[in-house]
Amino acid sequence: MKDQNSSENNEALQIEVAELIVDSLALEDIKASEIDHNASLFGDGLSLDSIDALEIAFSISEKYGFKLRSDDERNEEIFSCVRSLARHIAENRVT
Amino acid sequence: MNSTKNRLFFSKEGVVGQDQFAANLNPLRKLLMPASLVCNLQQDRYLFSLGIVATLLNNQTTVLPPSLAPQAIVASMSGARDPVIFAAAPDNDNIARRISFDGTEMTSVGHEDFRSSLKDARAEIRVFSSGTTKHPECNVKTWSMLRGGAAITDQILQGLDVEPDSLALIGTTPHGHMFGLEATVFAALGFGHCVYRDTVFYPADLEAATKVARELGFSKLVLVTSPAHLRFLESTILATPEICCVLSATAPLSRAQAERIEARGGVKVMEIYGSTETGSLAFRRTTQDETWTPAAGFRLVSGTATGCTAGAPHLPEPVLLGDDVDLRPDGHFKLLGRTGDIVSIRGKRNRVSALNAILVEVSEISDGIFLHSKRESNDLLAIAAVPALDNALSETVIKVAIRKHLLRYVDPAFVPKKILIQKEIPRTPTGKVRNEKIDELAKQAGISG
Repeated sequence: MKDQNSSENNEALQIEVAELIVDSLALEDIKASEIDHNASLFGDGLSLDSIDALEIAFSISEKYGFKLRSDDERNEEIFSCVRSLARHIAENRVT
Repeated sequence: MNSTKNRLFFSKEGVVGQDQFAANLNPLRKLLMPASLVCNLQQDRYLFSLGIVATLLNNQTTVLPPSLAPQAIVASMSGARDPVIFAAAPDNDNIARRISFDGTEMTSVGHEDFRSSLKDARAEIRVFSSGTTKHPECNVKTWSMLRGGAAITDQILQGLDVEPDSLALIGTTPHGHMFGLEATVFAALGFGHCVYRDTVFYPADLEAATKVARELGFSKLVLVTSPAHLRFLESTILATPEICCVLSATAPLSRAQAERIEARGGVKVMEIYGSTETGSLAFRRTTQDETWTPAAGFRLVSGTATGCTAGAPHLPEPVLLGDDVDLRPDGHFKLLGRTGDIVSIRGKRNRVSALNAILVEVSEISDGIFLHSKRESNDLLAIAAVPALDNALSETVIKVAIRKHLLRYVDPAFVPKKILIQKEIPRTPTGKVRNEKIDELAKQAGISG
């Protein structure tokens, strides 16, 4: 039961993160529901750039109360897709 | 080996003085010696700077690719017999042999006088700007040209009236591009200013860098940045009294933001204008000056048929500016906007013609065109594309193919999020697309007006 709750929570957080990406980057022609949670955020997926990452990091710090840092060796993995970003938020959120 | 005098670089590992820099040069020179050309991709400003000076002393060519896109790296090294990549990370090991160096190997006899040895060095440092084809244009720089461009940073720092030993620079701008190269790396190499080794990106990075600076005794800090980064760093700057100057590339910088920062007290916001072709050439205090002041030695000349040129003793010849300029009799000037088809996004520049040359090579489309809406700061880009006749791919697959192709050549900033799939591009019999048709497509893409 606990696993099921955790999985549902993670799914809900992934939807929230997809919405945060669309809102913070003002992606007018992409709906949050259309974003594949396993697809690459950079490169040929959503083709975000470094300033987009900064924008997302800023929104994350405002909403979840923790800050991202460049010297975190897991950054590439954290920003690889919505699912991994949501996992990182779940592990570090303060609010 | 860490000296407290002649400090050149600092990080949480401590300070690197000129003596350590000099002692690291010989081992690195030996490592790089066999290469015909060195592509310097070091992210650490200290190791990057060592690479620059080692290749100059070896009389070797350095290339600094316009972006980290694989094709941009390949193109920057084209024609070289035995090129090497000087980098810590193996990201591009499939492109060329990599040489790494961690700075632990030193010799007792160093090159303390490397500046005087390099004064007349002719070895090339190649930097790139966008051309009209898919290949970026190569701009050849030398030690004296890049030091000349960094003189504006030194001039501003001298004007801060701060004890030099207490002053350090922290940079958010990539040091492989002209502004970051001159305002951080050559401010250290050419003028002995002390620079933070790591690139600051997130606000937490700036907080960490200022903490390190404080612990090492630097009481006054200069933040070298760009308007794109500054927006996210404002609250950290306001909470960091050690930051006494913000030195920003222009894109331009918002006057309201500069006023908010200066309202903290004890901090000046200075904006620098320049280009890859000219290097940094003019400055203004954003809160006070409408016009730009050319750096010492620079002279602008207007009235040519093609536009305004900038000349300086450290440039081999006057350079045509990429902006229209209103030149005042006293030599100060006002920027009126970009010339031609130059696109500016987040301080990075490219040309629509160059982007189109890359776009038409996407095999999944039969035709395509970039749509461009100029803005004062960040331009808007979109693409209109026609699927290749013989493919039955979904729109999503075609869009992914376009983005994937572009990312091999250009910075992600120039890869639009908006791609219109069309049945045809309304070209004239000669293949051109009239401006009104481009405007219609831009409107359809939601980027006009």
